[in-house]
Amino acid sequence: MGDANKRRDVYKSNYITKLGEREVSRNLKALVWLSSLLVVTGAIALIVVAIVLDDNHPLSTLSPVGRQGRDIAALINPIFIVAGVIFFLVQGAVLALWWRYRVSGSESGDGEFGYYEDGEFPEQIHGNNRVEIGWTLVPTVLLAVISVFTLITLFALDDVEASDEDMVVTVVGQQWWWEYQYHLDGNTSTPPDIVTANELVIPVGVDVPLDIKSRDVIHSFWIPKLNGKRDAVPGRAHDWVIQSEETGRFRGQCTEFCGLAHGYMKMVAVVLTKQEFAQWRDNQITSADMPQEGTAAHEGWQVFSQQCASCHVVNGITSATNRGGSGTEADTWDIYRELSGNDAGAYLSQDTLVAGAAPNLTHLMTRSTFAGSWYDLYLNADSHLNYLDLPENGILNRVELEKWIHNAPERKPAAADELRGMPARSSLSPQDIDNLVAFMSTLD
Amino acid sequence: MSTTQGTISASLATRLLGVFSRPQGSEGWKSWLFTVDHKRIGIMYGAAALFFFLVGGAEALFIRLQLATPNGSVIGAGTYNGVFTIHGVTMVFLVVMPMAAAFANYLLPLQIGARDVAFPRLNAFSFWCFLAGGVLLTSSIFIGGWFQNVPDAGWFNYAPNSGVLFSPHKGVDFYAVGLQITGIASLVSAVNLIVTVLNMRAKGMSLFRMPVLTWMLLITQFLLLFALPVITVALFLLMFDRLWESNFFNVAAGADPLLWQHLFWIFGHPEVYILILPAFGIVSEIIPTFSRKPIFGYHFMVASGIAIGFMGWGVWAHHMFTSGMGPLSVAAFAVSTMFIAVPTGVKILNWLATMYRGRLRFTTPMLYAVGVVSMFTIGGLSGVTHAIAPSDTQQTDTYYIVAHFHYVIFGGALLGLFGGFHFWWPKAFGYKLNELWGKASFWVMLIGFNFTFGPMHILGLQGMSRRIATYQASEGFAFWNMVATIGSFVIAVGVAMFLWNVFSSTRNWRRVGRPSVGPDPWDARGLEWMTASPAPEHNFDSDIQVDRFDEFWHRKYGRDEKGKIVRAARAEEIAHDGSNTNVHLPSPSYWPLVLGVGIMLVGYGLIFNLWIAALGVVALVGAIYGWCLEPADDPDTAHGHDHAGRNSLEDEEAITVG
Amino acid sequence: MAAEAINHSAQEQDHHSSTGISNEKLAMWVFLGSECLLFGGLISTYMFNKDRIGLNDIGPSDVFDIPFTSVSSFVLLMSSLTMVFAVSAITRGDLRANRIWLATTAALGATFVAGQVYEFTAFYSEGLGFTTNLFGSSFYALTGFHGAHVTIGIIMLMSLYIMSLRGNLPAERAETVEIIGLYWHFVDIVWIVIFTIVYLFPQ
Repeated sequence: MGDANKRRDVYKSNYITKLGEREVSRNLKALVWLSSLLVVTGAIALIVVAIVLDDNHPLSTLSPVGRQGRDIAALINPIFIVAGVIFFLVQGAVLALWWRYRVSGSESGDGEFGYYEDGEFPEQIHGNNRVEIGWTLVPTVLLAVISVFTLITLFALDDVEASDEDMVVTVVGQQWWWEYQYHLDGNTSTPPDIVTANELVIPVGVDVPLDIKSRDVIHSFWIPKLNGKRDAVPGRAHDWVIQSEETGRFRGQCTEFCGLAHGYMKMVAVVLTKQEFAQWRDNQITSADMPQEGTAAHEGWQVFSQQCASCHVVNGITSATNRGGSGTEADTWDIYRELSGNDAGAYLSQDTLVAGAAPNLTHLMTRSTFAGSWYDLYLNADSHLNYLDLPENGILNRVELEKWIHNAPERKPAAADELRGMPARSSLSPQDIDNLVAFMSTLD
Repeated sequence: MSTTQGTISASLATRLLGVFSRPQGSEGWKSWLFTVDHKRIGIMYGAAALFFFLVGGAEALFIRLQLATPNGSVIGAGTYNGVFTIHGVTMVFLVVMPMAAAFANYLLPLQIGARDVAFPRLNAFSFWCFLAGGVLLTSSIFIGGWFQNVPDAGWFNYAPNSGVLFSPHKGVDFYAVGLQITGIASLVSAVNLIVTVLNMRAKGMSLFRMPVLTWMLLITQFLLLFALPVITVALFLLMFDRLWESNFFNVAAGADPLLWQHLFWIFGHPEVYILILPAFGIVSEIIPTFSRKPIFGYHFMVASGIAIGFMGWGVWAHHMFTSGMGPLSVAAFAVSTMFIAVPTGVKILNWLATMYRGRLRFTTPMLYAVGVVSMFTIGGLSGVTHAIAPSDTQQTDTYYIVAHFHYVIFGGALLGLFGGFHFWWPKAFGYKLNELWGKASFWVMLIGFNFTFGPMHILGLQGMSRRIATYQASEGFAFWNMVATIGSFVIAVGVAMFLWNVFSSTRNWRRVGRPSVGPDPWDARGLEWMTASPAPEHNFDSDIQVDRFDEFWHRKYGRDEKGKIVRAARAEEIAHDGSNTNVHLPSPSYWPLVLGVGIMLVGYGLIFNLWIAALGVVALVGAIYGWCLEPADDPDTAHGHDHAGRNSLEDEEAITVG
Repeated sequence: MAAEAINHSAQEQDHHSSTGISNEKLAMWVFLGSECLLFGGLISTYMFNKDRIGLNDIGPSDVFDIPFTSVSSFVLLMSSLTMVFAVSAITRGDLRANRIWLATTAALGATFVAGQVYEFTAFYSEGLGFTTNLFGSSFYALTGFHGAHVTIGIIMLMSLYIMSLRGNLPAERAETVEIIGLYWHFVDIVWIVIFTIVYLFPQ
């Protein structure tokens, strides 16, 4: 019995006060204030660094160049400032209260008053209705003001009719790349005039209406520098609009989780001057030419027609015989259904201008990226090279392209065995691949 | 004596009517399996939640490792999708919710002066059912190979990506079945706790004398009560689609995938408040104690909680601003979301006002509570920016959102719950956690937390999307991702320090002969401190008459002629010492555990083989049968919390005669 | 003195309730609140989906037999009345009448479920399966969930009947019957909503 008491005493004297109450309390206080100081200064230093380093963020929402993006920034930036002020007020209040009203006391908490050393109590204030009503009303009014500005911007951005552009681009998301179908006359019920992939080319300064759809799961179309995002939902068509005040290449990223390679599903918006855009458009409308017999490109075409043409379309030379089936866009959903029956042909559309489940390659060489814009097609695409000059003066990223043809699932995650993503073509010889690249190089 | 014998043989006969004899005793591991004591159940909830917290934390570290550098290849894209999905599911459903349930179970009856919850056996069932769901969900990580059958469609599990077509392995089945099971647990618990609070309050404990924590927990239970059936419907539809080829999310058959989103977020947004309100309640208990002042604006605190509870139902579609709803819906939900910030702001300001002119002692619980005030403010402010619908089209599904909800759920809910651990630890176990280690682990965790999630605001605004398995060097995300990864390991160190604190404090306490810390180690205010620590099985020796808010504090302190506050009595003098052995207690039971196991078998059966489910149904039916046949209180052993059977019967005998 | 207080409190604990309603009854009310949202979700799903079918697809007007369902709905409605009689019988201590009315209620409920089984079979033979289209999936899910609720109600009524036969349902336990009655009335009311929305509105 006495033994237990003794041990208890040891507990109290050794364990709790081993480090010396006073010393602990002083050390702790120093630790507390030092670390909070460290956090604050560290955070501020890092944020400064961040702003300094902010010159190279191709997806940044902080430096928009599109009209809509700028409208959004104009709305949110002042709100960020208001929020910042409130942030400093509250954190300042926490620190000030801490500093002003802290009391020292027992470190062991064993005293009659727990951690307090004395029986001194502050005034027991239970509340104050006026103060409460005040700080309910002030934020309410503040938020009401913000709501008004929000609604104004919201409805202004929604007013897509304002566009003077006839052209409508149907944007189709699928695992894991984007297809763009250009309806130059704005009539989306007729077959599109141009079908391309990954890179959305638009003229500068024009509101381009988009018609966003999906073939499989939900995706989200987002070019942060131009406009916010809009989901591509299967079974639904969503109106959206995109515009840029400047020419250039602006990156995008699918932002609704869409399965395995979601992170690898990227896209680019290319903004050209109006003349350049006309030039690009006139080129895209044309079909590809069959390479001359006897050339490596023609050898490549033969490989292509056997290995690739059941999914990839090249306008003008892949023929309907490569592609059976009877689908329209509406029943591309059936594609996946019928996959189990291995009836891959069924999911390809008969319409020569509509790619099925793989990108239309008619003008592959005019694009700066491939594989869902994950890889650069040209090594110097980011230099000041004119976009339209890429096929001529670009340095082809040949190594990556060949690896991609050889074994795509290794270069970008895909569920190729479920026909979601491009399957490997490991059986191709290096010669075959060389020829294939030679053929593709003609697709400009 | 002969009467006693008679009673025993009579009850033996009753027992034979049941299928088995009842479990007895309150010592040893078996007594934990069959316990119906709300405090033990609360402790088991807490322990299970801490275990799942370590699992979810390990998953988080893998996420951070994968994202530390561009083109990360620590885990592949497929595994990554599984890891972030199960991380989210684990942290929401298996960590924060059960941790809150731990406090609800342990504290609700104590705070309202009750002996137990309204339905003790149902309470035990809630726990076992939750654990069954948690084990089932977690087992998806390794069943059929590591990460081969783990849910991989995100915690939000949007159709049609969650369909069998796009997620052919069993991961989403685990998700649907596992969440259904934890949902049953939460629903049963919600009914039980609502009845407890409404019906079992001590005399004089009117609704507006209840502690703020009790209020927040009550509101949470109402939110669960009404939100869970909605996710239940969604999960059933998903399960029917996946297992029996119905068409609810089959776009080819004309379905609209937005149905899932609406159902999920009608549940999902109240769920956010289900996660945070218990922490708000905990903070509202800790700050007054260590400010030596009553909570400022009690009625406004309660009212703002109720307001959040109501408004939480009208804002769900702000998760869907980019999903293609009409602009009018977007406008309506933008405005409603905007104003839900008001009651939350009221809470923050009331906490600050409680501290104002107080005498602040920064003990570990107080540090955590003030940490919540500070960190939740950041999450709240970023939350308001989501209500700005046009700018949400830029922010949604980026790391800005990830930053936001971690500031809310980690910086708000988890810090609050950890503060609660330190605050009520002496009540539950009879000794305190070491303050030095406690404070150190708090600071390490807080610093790590801010280094992990603070940079994510910047990353999000710089355009980094959520749920991407990797990014390219040219996108400029590398620096802040590295900072975040380092921060996440700092958090891990903080958590390890907390665990060490638990271990070493326990060891030190055992070494010195397990002295009790006394009923009221913090000089606190609530009724839970008015009984011995650890709280005895019967909670209070006798009924408590409550005459005002903060009854216990008012019994300790009075005012002298000058109006100065003076000690009226020591806590030890007022508090019940737990010596009463003559309290009618519900008896332990096998059936809650059997029922939980049965449900788990049904779960696995639905996923793998219906024969397993049939086995589960047999267990279920047997358990329900046994449950219904046994009386809630075993007349043989129900008297006397020491479960010494005969002795306590003798005691009662004596008293009755006396 | 202390002992008296303790003993008193131990008894109080069993009977005292802050609202004056027993725990069991309050729990049923609370649970039914949750059930409202469950059926709310299912009914919304049905409303959302019922017209999302192809032009030539089998739809509500192709299968519904309103007179038949009206009769079975009436049967279920009557069972609410007999349930009231059962509660009133046990409240006034007439255990035999209680048993009769409990059995009648269960029988009426079973008739309703049998009608539903017949209806499902008929629809199925007309080509409307669970997987046929969105209308089929939503219809069977909604009415199936309701049918399951009625079935559980029947099981509970039969259990009460057996308890009563064994003498385990004395007049003091009238509230148990009342609580099961609450559930039963709720399930009936839900059916009135379903019948109106699913069967009558499209006509």
